[in-house]
Amino acid sequence: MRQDVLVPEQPPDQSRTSLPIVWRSGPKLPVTVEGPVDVALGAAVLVARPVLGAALSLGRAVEPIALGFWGLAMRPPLVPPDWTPAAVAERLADRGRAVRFAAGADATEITGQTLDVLVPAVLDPVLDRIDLTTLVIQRVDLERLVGAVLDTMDLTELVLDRVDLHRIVEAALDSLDLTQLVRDRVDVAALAEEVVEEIDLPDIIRESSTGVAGEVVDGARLSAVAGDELINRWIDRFLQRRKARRTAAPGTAVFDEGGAAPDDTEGSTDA
Amino acid sequence: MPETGPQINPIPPKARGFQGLRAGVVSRCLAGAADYLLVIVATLGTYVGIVVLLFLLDPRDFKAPTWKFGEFLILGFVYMVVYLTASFATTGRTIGARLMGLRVVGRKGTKMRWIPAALRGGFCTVFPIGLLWCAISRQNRSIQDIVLRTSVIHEWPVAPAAPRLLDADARRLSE
Repeated sequence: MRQDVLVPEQPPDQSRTSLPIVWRSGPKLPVTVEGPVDVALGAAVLVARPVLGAALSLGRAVEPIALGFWGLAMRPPLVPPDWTPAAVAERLADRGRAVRFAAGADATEITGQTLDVLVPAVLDPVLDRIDLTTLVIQRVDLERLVGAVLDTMDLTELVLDRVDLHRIVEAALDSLDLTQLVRDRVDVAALAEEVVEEIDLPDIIRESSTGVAGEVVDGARLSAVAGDELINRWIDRFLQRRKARRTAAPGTAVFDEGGAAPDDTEGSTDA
Repeated sequence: MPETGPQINPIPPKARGFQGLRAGVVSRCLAGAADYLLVIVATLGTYVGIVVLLFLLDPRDFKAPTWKFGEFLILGFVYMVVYLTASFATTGRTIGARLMGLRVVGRKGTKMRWIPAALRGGFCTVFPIGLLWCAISRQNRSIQDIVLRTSVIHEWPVAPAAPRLLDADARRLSE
């Protein structure tokens, strides 16, 4: 049916607001026939329009008179009420209604069977003539539809039940160069620095590289420093010093960062 | 790979606070004691070595030499001066100082030259009790430090090849 399309396929044009979705059902009339037919139709319309207008005006004029006559004919005087045409028509209607109700079930079944035959026969040609996809895209609010569908279902649970996640992940990983991706997207060095800071890697390295002897030496040094401070406190207390000792040495980081400058005239500063 | 990037600090956190500060009397006395012990061992070792050598040269007429205490003292004195001088002028650390995490520096915090190192070595050997002044000094300086304008600081020895784990910039550029 593609050859019957009204407008041939064209490249997408942003200015167009709609797309051809319906195809003509039958072959075109020959050109030699189309002209006379159009002339005949035009003449018929030209004649029919005034005739139809006059008939309608006449109908409106005689309508009240016709209704009066109709009422008199249906209920004529001097006729027993049960024998008037209206009563007879009413009895006939009752009988017909009863028959219709009795036959209702059969009619439904017959209708269903008829539709079973009729619908496929009609629907298939109709669908053949419609680009349903384009029709849906043009006429259906897909966002709203999808939103409504998603609201009614637990998508996560559905995916977990129905999707083979292992296969999907495997396929995704096969198609990706994960190493390159990480190199491009992740600041690995910054991440590693953060991790090292978090786990105190220097402490781990130090502990792993210094053996038992190293720990003993470290302990001895720290104990000696504690002893230094103890002796210093005793002597400072004995000498009634109020200011703390200035032990920063020149040329060291501590000295450079604002430690007290050493006074070479030692005697002048000692108590 | 350029020498950039963070360096692992191998010094324990507890000890970082006093690195670069002048050491107190206890640390220095312990370092000195280790050095004295070393020199005593070297002196006695020298005597034993001479005895063994004499025995090997003439086992029949071997007779152990008898050294007076003064002779031991002189040898020990010489050993101590040479040992201290060489230590001060090269690494700034004697064995005892290395053990206690100390270092001797000059007036500007740099390594001592040979002549001041020799002066200090002789001074320390002749007048060891001058060390005790650092307990009284407000700047933790011994008599030798005051006279020669030196300092003995806490500087725990660090392995020369401290690991450079995170040379981040260089690693990024090399890829």
